[in-house]
Amino acid sequence: MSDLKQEKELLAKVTDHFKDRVFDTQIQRERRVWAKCHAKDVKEIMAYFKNDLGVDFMPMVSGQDCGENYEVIYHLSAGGIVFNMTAVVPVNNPDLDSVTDFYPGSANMERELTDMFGINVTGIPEGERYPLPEDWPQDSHPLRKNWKPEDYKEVK
Amino acid sequence: MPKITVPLGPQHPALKEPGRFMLTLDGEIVDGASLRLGYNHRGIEKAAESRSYLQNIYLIERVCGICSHSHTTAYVTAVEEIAGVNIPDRAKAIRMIIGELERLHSHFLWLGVGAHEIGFDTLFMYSWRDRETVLDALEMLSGNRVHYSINTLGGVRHDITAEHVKKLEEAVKIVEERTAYYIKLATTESTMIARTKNVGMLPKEVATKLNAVGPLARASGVGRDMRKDDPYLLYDKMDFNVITTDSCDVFGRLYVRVFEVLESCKILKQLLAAIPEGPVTAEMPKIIPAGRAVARYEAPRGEDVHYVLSNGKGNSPERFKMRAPTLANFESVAYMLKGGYLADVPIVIAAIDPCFSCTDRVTVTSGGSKNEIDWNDLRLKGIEFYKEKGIDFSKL
Repeated sequence: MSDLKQEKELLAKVTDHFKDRVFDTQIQRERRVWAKCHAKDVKEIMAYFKNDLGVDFMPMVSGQDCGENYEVIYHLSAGGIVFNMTAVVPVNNPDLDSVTDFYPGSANMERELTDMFGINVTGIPEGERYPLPEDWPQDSHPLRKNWKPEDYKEVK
Repeated sequence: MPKITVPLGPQHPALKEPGRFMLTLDGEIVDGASLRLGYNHRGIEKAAESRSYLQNIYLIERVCGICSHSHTTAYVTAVEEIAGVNIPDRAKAIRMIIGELERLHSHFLWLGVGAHEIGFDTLFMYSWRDRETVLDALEMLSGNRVHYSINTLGGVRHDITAEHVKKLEEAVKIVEERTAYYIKLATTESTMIARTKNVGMLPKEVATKLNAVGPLARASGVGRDMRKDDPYLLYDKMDFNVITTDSCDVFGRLYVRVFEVLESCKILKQLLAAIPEGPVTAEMPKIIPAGRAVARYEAPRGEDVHYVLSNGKGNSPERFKMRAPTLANFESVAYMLKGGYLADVPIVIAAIDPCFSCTDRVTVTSGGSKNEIDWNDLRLKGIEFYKEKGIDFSKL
């Protein structure tokens, strides 16, 4: 068994830097670290990961509807370690900054947050919507828990 | 001469899957490219939230017809992690055997498609013929050529016999011999070199920045391979190399794939020589407890990431999310097309070995169609069908 040294060091760097702005931390197992932050801090945190920690790979961005909040998980890959930084986005004010300044490869995954959850992500480079069709209603977000397939009316 | 914009796709843009590329042309040079994806969006992530953990294996297997095993392995690994179940080593070995065979057939398929895109159809026919050796092996092990359905929660559905091992060893030998020929061909055939060298350039720093994965990244010198970086199953016990090159062009992507075939053969030989004894399934809890897991899998096209969230209450995941390698690699396509010739667009697109179905995943069918069958109707139809044959499933 690993003593989780690398995982602990990585998490300590992040919590030392951001103090209580990063919370609910967990080292789940070897190579899996979890933490939460507020939506407003996302840009600063991602800048820290990219510029200070040298984490250059973000394989996935996931959204999820947790009732009062949406959660957006930035799955960052630091070597083999996946650091899952979860941003808490309030449902009544679903605004989020784009992290494409630091991780340009995440543009389509951020567009997915807009289409599927209705999270307003500002700062994504100009481009076509993804993944829903051009004529899909702007206010219909299929991955919200209260969305049902019968809500969708075909656009003529 | 004024610049002109030409749409390529969405129907059949160089390969048999939909995606639209808007190309701005300055003469025959591509000055800029923008992409529109999503034509294959089928609503799989949403559908997964209303199906049981077990049903989802079959749903997720159908995300893609080539890397079907990659997706289900990533998914079941995540669910097993949440359930705290460690599957037997024999099941891990069988998952790896299928996984590496899948890589072989996928790389042979790509070699054929790549050859076809540059007009080298003899190679296309050769490599697709040799791919049959691998598909036959997969059919022998699982009963299926494409959707092997070998994975189940807690292990695999079929055991492997001594006879299977013998036949697989023969198949690996054929694949190795043929690959030696392809390596000679790819590195000496002048048309092959002329059409692929210095085409579709992707420098290392750009590949790193744009989250490139798989053979695309490795051909630009970025050695990302989850089998080494984040080992799963028994990969930490295997002796194999991660193939990289610094050529950063389509030739490099060809080079990486053909040499990876040999590395997969190496892994297969190690596995076949010493398959762990024991059962092929472990018992899974009836209810998956609350929890979350991220599983990474090195699919033939690159890293496949799955995230599963369980609330511990129901029989379905609270959230299922996946990112297939092609979505990660599409960010690089626009960069690679820019500055190249219009005539090279098909091979540059094909060189990432794109899979649009994987990328788009997620249908929502429109409410009005009369021919729609929902899950319950389909189940009732199945019960009726078997009742006529004298088998009653209605109590299940």
